[in-house]
Amino acid sequence: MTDWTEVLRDWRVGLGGLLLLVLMGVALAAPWLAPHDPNAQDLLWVLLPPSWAPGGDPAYLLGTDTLGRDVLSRLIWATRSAAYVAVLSTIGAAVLGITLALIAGYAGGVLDWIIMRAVELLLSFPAVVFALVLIAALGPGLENVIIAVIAVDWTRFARVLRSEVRQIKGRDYVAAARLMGATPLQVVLQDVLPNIMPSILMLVSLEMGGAVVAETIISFVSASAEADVPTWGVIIADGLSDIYATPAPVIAAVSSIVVFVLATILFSDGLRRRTDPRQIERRGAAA
Amino acid sequence: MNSFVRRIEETDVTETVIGSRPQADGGTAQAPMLFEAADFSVRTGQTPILERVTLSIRKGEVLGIVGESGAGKSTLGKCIARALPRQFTTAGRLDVFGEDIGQMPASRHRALMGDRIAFVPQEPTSALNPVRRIGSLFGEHLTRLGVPKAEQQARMVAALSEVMLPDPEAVLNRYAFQLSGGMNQRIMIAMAFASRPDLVISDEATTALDMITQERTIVTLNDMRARYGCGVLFITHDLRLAGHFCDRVAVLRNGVVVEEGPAAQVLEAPQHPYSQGLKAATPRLDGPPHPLAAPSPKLRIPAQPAPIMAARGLAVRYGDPKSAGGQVEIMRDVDLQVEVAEFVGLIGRSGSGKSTIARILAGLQQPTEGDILLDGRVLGNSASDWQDRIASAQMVFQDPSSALNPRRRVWDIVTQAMVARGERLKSDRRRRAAELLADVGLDERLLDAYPRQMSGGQRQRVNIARALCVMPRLLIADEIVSGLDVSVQAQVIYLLLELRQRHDIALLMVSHDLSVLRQLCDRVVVMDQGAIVEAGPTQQVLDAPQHEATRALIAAAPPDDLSKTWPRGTEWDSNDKTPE
Amino acid sequence: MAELGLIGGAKGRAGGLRRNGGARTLKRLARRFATSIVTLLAITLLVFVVLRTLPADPVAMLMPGNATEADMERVRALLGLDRSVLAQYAIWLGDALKGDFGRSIQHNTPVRVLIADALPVTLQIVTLSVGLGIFLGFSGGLLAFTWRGTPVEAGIEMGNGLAMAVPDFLWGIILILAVGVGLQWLPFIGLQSPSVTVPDITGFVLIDALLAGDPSAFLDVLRHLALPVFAIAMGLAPTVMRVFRSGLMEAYTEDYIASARLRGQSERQVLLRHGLKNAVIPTITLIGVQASMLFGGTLLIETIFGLPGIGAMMVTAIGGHDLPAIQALTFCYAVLVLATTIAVDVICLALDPRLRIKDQS
Repeated sequence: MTDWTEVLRDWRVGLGGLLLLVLMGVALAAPWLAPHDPNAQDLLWVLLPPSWAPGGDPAYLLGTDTLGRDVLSRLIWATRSAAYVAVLSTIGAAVLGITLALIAGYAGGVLDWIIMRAVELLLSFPAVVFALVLIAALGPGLENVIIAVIAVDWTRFARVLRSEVRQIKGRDYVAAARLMGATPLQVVLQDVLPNIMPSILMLVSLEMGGAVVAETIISFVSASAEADVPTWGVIIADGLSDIYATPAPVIAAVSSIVVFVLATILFSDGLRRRTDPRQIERRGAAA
Repeated sequence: MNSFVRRIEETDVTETVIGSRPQADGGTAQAPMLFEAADFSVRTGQTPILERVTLSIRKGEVLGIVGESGAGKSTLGKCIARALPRQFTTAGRLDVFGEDIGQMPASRHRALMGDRIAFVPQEPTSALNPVRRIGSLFGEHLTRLGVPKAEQQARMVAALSEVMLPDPEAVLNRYAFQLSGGMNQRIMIAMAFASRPDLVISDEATTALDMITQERTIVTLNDMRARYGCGVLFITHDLRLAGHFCDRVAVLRNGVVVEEGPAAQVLEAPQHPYSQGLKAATPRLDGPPHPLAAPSPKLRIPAQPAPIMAARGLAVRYGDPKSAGGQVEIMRDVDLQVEVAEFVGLIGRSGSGKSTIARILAGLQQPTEGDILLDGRVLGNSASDWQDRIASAQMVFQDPSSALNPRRRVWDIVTQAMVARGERLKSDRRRRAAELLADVGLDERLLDAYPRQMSGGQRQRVNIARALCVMPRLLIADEIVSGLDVSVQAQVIYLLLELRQRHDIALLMVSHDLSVLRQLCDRVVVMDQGAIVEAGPTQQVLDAPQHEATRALIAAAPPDDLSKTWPRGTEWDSNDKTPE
Repeated sequence: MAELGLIGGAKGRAGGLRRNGGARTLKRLARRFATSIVTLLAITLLVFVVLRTLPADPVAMLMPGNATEADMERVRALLGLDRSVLAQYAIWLGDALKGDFGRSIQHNTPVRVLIADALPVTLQIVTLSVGLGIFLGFSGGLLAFTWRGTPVEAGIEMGNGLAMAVPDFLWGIILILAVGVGLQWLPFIGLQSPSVTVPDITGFVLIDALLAGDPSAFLDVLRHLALPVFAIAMGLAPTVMRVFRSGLMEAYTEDYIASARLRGQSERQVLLRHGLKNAVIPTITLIGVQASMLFGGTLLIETIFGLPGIGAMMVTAIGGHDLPAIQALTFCYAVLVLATTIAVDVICLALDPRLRIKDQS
């Protein structure tokens, strides 16, 4: 039903998608793109301003931090960490959330009750706090961040999708499929899942942005990454204390995060507009 | 019959037939002109919506606008309300009280709306703000009309009593969702007439209501009209209804008025081929069954030992902590059967349980008590019983837009059943799909279409085709022709009868429309409040009803003979109570 | 009659339903309250269990370097760390109900005291932020809606989209960079200037300043709070704006709006009397949903701006593996979120009669 060519033509999807591709590209190409080793310290050249400012050095395009590490290289490698976390946590949260939503929405009954209570439980508590507690228990490392994010964010998928699944379950074509002899699994895969695809795509793109923000928060509180893994949060945390001397690292890191999240929001927004049947109707009715 | 349907589709719209103006009805010829459309056209881009329409309404006159969907009936009302979407352009004059609506300043137009011009909407419940009380909404309207606050309560109570609403004070304190559709429509009528309007526009005011409620609403509307002597623009797709309620009728087709004249003349002796086609396609309440229906194949099939499907002692109860005994019974002791190649009609008011029976027989709902028998054998809960059941009886759902998965193509939808049986090969499925489409009279090119690319009639036929895939012996149809245009409805009826001729299929048809059942069914079963109150051959039950529920249903339907009085007075339902 | 059946649900008579649902509302709230208590217990238990899997040994951190094994055993027993998890939880719960949340390992003071000092700060911040966020969100939404179809709406939407892309703690940093460091308009460290003192009457600095009749101190604190409050509000406002605007647009597609116009109501009357109330309801629901996010935002914001609230306290507690503090703060946060949710629920019930009366089946 979704006209995918029209979806791609939407400027939001195009722009957002392009930005995301660029970011992913940077992430993948980090080892070759970064001019320096992100962890190489050079204590002779600490807190250099960007190369275009007085006192800057063209070798260090965006300057250096308190330990003399090249900001640009750290930024590029941080993009890699962000992409890593974003993709894996999103896949994990999505798979877990969708599966539970399908079970809860379609099977109903006790299973629905249990799953919904679990969702409510986790949502009754600030996600950030819970993630931090989990990290404190699990220890540092990007992998643990991913686990923590999955553990908290699956609820977002589950809650939204479950109510959609319930709605679809009540539609006549699901009843018709049962009358045609389809097994519950067949009905779920053929009739339910394709109809919740637009919402899934939207949630997935939003989740990527959310995961990156979560990772930033966690690493800012310096509870996550090991010392030699640069992330945007770590760059901000390091840069805050010397913000009067050289604000470049902080500005650069903040901008990167904003661009990433903006890209995901644009993308998901464009998707939503093109695939929401009510929106389509509204535009069509005017015709 | 089908030839008439074809005539409707092929008719070349070249001429308009105008009937003579009546002199009756209190001297309407000299009554002031309330509304006049002169050569009025509406277009969107290149597409015409209304073409050179010329109509008029004088004081005290009821003008009916009838037509099928897409004819442009609602557009006139929207033009008067100045509620056309932006890209619509108009030409010609549309005068109300002598002033051109298109030219008047916005403030003048707004002053007329709700005051001298009033509207009665199609969906009354959603026309009332759900989070505000009725009294608050009505009071707001009265304030707009200039009624001082002190008088408002009295006026509102009086207005609600006028439309026969019981316990008006209580109603004023309610919210719209607490009241029924019929009650809400009466509230809308009360609010419309509160200003003693000169012109009332009713756009399909009774379409969303069930038969008996429709009758009561028409009674109310008629009452108020007579009392205040206003003119009415009555838009409807129901020909018989227009015939009884209106003085003059204009038939609209694709934006053009093809015929106009006194109601009795246009509807009983139409002159234009299209109107004639419409009349022919409308099933008659008192007419003979469809030509294809006789002789019924039942007669040539040797008597079967057992009916295809039978229900025995069905009862449905729900737990309801609020009622006495903790349970509420919505069906009790129902016995029903359908024989081979028999067409059975199931009729009753909304809430009588007819849809529930259909769902139970189809297997979508379990009865609290009772048995379902297939070929004389009681059906249990085992998988093989389920397989037998769905191989013999299939359901055709009412709303084709929700009964077809919007993401699947037609060939995929109609051959769903094959997948469950393990016949997955796409080529096999497509071949079978082509067969099925041919069976229901659809073009093979629609195989790859999505539901949204088809018309309502086409979707309904895909619905039927899907049910036919397993070659069932019984089709269970729940209101599958209500809401369809008359011509499309005729086609579906024709199709069902043809299928019986070819495949000896039996049908259990749930409907609220007596005339459809008359045309289609051998036998009719009447339900009321969860029990079967009357059953028998169609002709017999409809011509000589025994039970009062049957009589009420027959009385509520506008009769074919326009000379008979309908609706028949203002006795109201003793069950019409405001909720606690 | 079938029509009556419609009202009480297909299941039968509506008798027994109190007029306009008063009894039902109370029952619903009572049930909600009970569920909240259960949730509270569940969350604290969950966190309790999670924390016990910490790799670090809190006792080892407490003791001086030359402590013997026997000493550590004694301290462990004192802190109850040698019992099973459930037993420990039971002890904690018992104490908590009496108001005793243990002693902070890092600060060696009763946690209760620490929280009593820190909580008012956070509450003031959150209250001001929510107020500002709602104000900005509703105004923006109303503006965008009134000017719909014009470039003004497009501009507001774009700005909104941008604002939504920035998480609240980043807003904090941006504001520090721009307003604090760059323009040097507002302070961004701490709660008040070093020279300003406010007597401790209620514990709420703002209220105390007013009670003491010291407007300059009041303003000083307000200036210090301006940036952090704005940062958190910016986490809330864009979403509120979006939902409110879409709520208005939804409402305007409904029949009752058209119906009001057909009765001759002016556009302004339609908006005020019909559109607003209906659009506010989903917005309030959203705010409830965002409640937990809001409280989460205080952690980082307080840390960045150096404000002594429970957020900053939680961050240091987690960093230092201060179990009693973490536990107690978890409890605190859960109570705050649940209380907010219940409050939102009550407001929704008051506004939307369908929730009060309609059969939830």
